[in-house]
Amino acid sequence: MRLMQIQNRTRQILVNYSFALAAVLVCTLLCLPLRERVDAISLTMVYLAGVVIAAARLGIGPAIFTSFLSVLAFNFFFTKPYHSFEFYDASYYFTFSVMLITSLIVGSMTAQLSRLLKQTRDEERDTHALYDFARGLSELKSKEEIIEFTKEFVGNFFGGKCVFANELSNNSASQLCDNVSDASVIITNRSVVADDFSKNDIIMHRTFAGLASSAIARAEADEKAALYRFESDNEHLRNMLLSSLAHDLRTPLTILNGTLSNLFKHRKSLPREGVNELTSMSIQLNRLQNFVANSLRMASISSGAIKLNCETYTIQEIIGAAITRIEPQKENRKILSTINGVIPMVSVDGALMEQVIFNILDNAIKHTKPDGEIRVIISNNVDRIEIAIKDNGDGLREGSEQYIFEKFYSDREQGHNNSGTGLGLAICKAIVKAHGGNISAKNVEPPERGAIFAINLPIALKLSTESAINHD
Amino acid sequence: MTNPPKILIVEDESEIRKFLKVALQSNNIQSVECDNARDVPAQIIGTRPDVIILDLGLPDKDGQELIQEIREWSKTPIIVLSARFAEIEKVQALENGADDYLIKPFSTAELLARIKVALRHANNGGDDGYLIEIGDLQVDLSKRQVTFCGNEIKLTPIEYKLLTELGKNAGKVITHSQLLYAVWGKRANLDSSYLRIHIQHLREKIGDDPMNPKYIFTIPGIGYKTRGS
Repeated sequence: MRLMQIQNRTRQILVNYSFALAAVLVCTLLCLPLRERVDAISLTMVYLAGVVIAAARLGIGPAIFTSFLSVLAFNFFFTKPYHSFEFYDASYYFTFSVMLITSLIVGSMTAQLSRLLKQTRDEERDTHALYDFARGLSELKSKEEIIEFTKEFVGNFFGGKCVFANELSNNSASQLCDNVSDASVIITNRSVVADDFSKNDIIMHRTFAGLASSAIARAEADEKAALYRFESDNEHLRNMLLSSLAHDLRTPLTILNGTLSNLFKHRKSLPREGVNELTSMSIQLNRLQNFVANSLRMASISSGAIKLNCETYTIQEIIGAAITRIEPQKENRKILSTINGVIPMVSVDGALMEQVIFNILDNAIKHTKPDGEIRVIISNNVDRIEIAIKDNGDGLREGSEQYIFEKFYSDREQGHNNSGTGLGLAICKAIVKAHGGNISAKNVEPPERGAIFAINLPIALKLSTESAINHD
Repeated sequence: MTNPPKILIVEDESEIRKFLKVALQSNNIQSVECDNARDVPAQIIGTRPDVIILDLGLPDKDGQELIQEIREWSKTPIIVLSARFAEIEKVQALENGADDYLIKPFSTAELLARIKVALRHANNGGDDGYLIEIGDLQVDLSKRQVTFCGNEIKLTPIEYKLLTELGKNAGKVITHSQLLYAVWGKRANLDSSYLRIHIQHLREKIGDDPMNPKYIFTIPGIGYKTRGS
């Protein structure tokens, strides 16, 4: 690969020197017909012109080469005796010296001038290009547009192919440079270019890469900000919707509930059927209230309107809170507890986790006889804690274990007790999953009867009781 | 208590005001009504209610803001009624100075019970005397002594402070940060897990099973409370 580039450069040098040789030849051919008619000294001017042209076009090396060659050619063709390097007139020493010095000076100055001119032109072109590039970038919004624009612009500028590094691995970027001449590769903040790039081109390329990568960074930040705005608008909307829904559903329920309980105060003056009807209304109202509360909970959890507000709890106190809350519903049922080993603290959203336990207890109460027994068993299982809630009711219907946590899957045994909303256990599953835990249900091994609901939760931090106490 | 207690109902739904009035009347409690936030200060000054029942969703001002404003100059107990059921709303209301929080729909019996607790606090005028009773537990503030059926229970200073703070506010929910502030003072930017660990130890000493509490009740996501005797 490198070899080819060296060959290229060598070829270019050979071509330049060939042109220098050709320039001397042309000058010689121009002067030959004039040899007898014009003073030989005047012909040196023609050679000088050749040197100037060679210097302007081919650079300093070929210019020096032309100078020496011109003096030799002049000596060979235009000083007597012709076609020999000898000469009779000693004053030619002086002519040759002046000719050589003049052409060297003029040649090198011309070469330098033309180099400066080229440099100025290049710089102007670069400045224009950078300006156009920056202006073009500033008009673009998306990352894709910026990449597309950069590829086209940089590709055109260097007359090659521009590839973005995030489309290629670093290795294949260098490989591409090796295989395709003129390929330039942009890497964010850093550029890899083909070996034949000049120093100036590399600087330009880095500048392009820098501009493009900062434009991309800006576009990405804009996109992120827009996404965030969209999300927070969305969240705001969801919360607004839920809270107005909650208000609109809860207000009439509150009024019904309050009015009904006021009516109950007068039950002594009502006929017996009237009281029965009031009781049935009150039961149905209760059901409706549960349904509304569960639906709103479910909606706020599944829409993501609720964020977990995790704190460190002992799971016992959360279970205790749920047991306290379910107290009025449990009638003669016994709620017992077993704690196996030392139970570490857990990081949970206390209110939501209490709701989980409450819903499972509620479910157990609905499916046990009024003198039934519910047992809560807490165990420590390496890095998780397990809460099992076991009842001695009628158990789960065969095959319903998988569906029991689905939304609106109601009732363990149809027709037994139709007061479920079909949401209670679905809420449990959603909450437990949000905590990175698991919930499952199965029947107790025969001959015993009943269902077991098991929740396991990860232990978030191992906070030892002693270390915290010693802290103060 | 010679005069019947008086309650200010701040609620924009007229039907709710109506049934509340009936329910209160049948329990021998007088009520005054107000349907917007603007008139609340004048009503409090004019009628001197014993308890304020406040709906958070008033049309002209956010209830949370109104609680803060009232608390700047009045100590009248406030019971919040709200359809907003997020725990954060409850914590905020309690920390703004509300005494209690009920979510709509609520049962009238529950509201009456809460009103009774609030009335008792209002009548005590914040001074509970030197003796606090929490069930069978007795806390003698003058001797800094806790006894259970006559037997003394040794508590650490922090446990003692926790118990008295909860006992003084019996029946009322104290939020985690309120408790942290009351017990640890200004350097209360402690994690609530410290609180829980001390509560756990306190429970062990006073023989309170967290799974089946008698004295200290956990209100998950909000705080703790003790039951009024």
